[in-house]
Amino acid sequence: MRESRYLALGRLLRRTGLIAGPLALIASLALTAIPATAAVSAPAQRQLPGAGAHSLALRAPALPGRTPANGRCTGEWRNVVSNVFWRRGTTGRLYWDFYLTNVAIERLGGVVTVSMPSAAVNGHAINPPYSPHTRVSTYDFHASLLNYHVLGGVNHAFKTGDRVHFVWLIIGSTGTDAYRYITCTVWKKGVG
Amino acid sequence: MQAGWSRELGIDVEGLIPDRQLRMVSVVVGDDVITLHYRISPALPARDPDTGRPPWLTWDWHGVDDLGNDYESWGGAYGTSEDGLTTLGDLTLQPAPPPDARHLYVHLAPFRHDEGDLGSAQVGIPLPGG
Repeated sequence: MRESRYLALGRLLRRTGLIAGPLALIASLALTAIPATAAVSAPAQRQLPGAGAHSLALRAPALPGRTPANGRCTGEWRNVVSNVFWRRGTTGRLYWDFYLTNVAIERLGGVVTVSMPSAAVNGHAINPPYSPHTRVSTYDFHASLLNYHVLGGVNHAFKTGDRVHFVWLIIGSTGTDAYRYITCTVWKKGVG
Repeated sequence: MQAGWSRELGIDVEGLIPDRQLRMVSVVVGDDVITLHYRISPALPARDPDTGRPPWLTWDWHGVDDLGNDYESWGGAYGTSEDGLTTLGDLTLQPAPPPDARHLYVHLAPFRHDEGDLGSAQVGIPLPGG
């Protein structure tokens, strides 16, 4: 299993003038990606020079780790930014429900825009299956996925054993950004 | 140019969510997305983000238009209204419809973790070509 999580440093990068706009967000993604194998905990985050003031992950308390150790896209995956519930329907659809944590809501503000800037299946980039949603930060952000479209390729149905990689970007009304990404294995139909 | 086209709906979907009324409120057609706004009354139970409880309701939805084009779900979001009385949400689909598509038939199939599938319904939604 590999799960990486962090709060974004895009605002910091933009403030410093090093990078502007979406490039800052992408850069912060690259800079803060941290492979992890177990429970979410603040010490597991890699500290970046000068990043502490803007990183929720560095200051947040550890949360009880309930991320499945088996790496399957089932059950609840917890971290300091969000808790994501997965389920595979009997028809083969893959569902996720994404909730920001109270800690994240406090930092991000009352309204957020949740989007999915990138996604991949079995190492191939796909059209991200989530359109940007600007909503109250306590909302359930969710998706129901049957097929995916490989960039430059064709549609495929999700199948058991596929390795999916989803990246969520959350832009808060306070100007703070956050990321969440999960890599997991699509599991058997009807398991949630 | 159909981007930004919208229409009030006021379509009640009876019996799909037990003890609650589901109303499709409006449809908005964007450059590359169709957005359906809905309201559930009374509101779904409030949920603390950190409790670890599964979502009260999970949506499954997709669509087909009167020309036979398929539309895949493209994410949604729902939550409690400001006054706490209703749940407000939206379901998006892609791609945007062709100009001559008149109707979109959306298949709705909610799921509850404690009860399983709640059945399904098909809702006819007007499109700009109608």
